[in-house]
Amino acid sequence: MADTFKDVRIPASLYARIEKRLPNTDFKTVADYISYLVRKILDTIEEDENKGKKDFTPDEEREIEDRLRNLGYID
Amino acid sequence: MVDPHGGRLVERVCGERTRRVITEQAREFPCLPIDADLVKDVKNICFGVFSPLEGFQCQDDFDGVVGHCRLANDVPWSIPVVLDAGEGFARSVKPKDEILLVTAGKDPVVVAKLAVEDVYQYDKTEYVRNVFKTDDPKHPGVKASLEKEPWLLGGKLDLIAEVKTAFARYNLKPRETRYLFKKRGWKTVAAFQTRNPPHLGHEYVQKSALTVCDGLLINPVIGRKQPGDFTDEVILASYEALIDNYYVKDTCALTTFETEMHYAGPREAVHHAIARKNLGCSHFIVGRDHAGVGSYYGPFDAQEIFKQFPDLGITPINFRAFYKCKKCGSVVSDKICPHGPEFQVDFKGRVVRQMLAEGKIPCDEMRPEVAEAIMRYKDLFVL
Ligand SMILES: [Zn+2]
Repeated sequence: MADTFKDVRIPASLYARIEKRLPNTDFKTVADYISYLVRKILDTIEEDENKGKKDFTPDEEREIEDRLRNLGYID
Repeated sequence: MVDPHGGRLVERVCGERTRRVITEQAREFPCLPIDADLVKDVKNICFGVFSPLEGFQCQDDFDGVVGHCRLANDVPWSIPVVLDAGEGFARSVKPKDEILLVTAGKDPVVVAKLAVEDVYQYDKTEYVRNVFKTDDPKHPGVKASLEKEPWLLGGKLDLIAEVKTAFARYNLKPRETRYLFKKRGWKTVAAFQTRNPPHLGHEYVQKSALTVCDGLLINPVIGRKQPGDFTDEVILASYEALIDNYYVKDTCALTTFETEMHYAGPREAVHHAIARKNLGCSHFIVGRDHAGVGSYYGPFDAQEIFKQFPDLGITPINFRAFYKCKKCGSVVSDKICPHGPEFQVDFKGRVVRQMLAEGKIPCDEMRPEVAEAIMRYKDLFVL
């Protein structure tokens, strides 16, 4: 059940830059640190893409509002 | 408001016509009886509490979760959500079959339809060592896992009947909590997970979170309990009393999270956070030894694990320790009180329980209205 990996080529200068920062982090390897950073950045990008989506249709709003009122969650 | 985990709120509930047809033709489908805990999983999947899961996990997701806390699409997920089956049943179904999940016992109710995608076996020892960090059968989560059947069925679910519990009125679905938060204008919401009535320390933690968030969701876990635990009705009544008497109107909501406790410590803390993110919470309060049991986990392991997930999408609020300080004259945390241990008075759960059982109000530890609400019940604890 181990994680599987793929190779990615990055510029040597970038690798060196990340490697230099490694002692200031909790990460053991450059690969771990890059995975962390990429996940962090992708999460922000994906969050931006989802912005502006409508949460509820008017019908759904009415239905939920009725139920929440019946249960005493809204006045 | 925060996006649902994985970007989309899952809702998999059959329409009225499909429901009627399936119920009428139930005899023609293979039926698998499931226990009350699995019924809760089915509901949590189908109403989106476990978004982005659309069903019980197939092997690629299962391996990712057990191995490194990620689904096959790299979305963080820490506790496997799986359907176990005995060898006979597992060998009788194959991918693309449709089966019905029914309540166990007399007069079975058809709960959901499962479109089987995967039938697989797994190594239980590796499973428990990864998920629970121990294979000690005395650990309640390990014990329950080792008792599971040896085969797992994965595939998408469609809910047919919502089996309600005694506390259905508190069991809001993600779309309902999300609507409620929006209606109240809460952009940031802190979730507080609990299995106990509130003492002054809990109130301090919750109100600390409320000073930085727009709203607070108190979200007790309702489910199978250990003997000696407070009963669900006592927990809910005690919180109603606290909210009525000590919270500013419309800053706090009380709803339940119906699920089985696994006692998997750090991994379960992440699991609990994901469920609350789906309910619309932006923050999750993590205390000492969250979802732990015995001494299997370090007191702050459940806080440390969040560092592995920069893409979790819900922010932990960590509390290391809170207690009463005789010098400060109030409930404090180690972060704001400079005084030494000689001034600290810890909250003593055992004393509180004892006093409540004897009908005495533990004034130093608990609001009197909360204690009175608890003592209105004859049976405070699970037998
Ligand atoms: Zn102090």
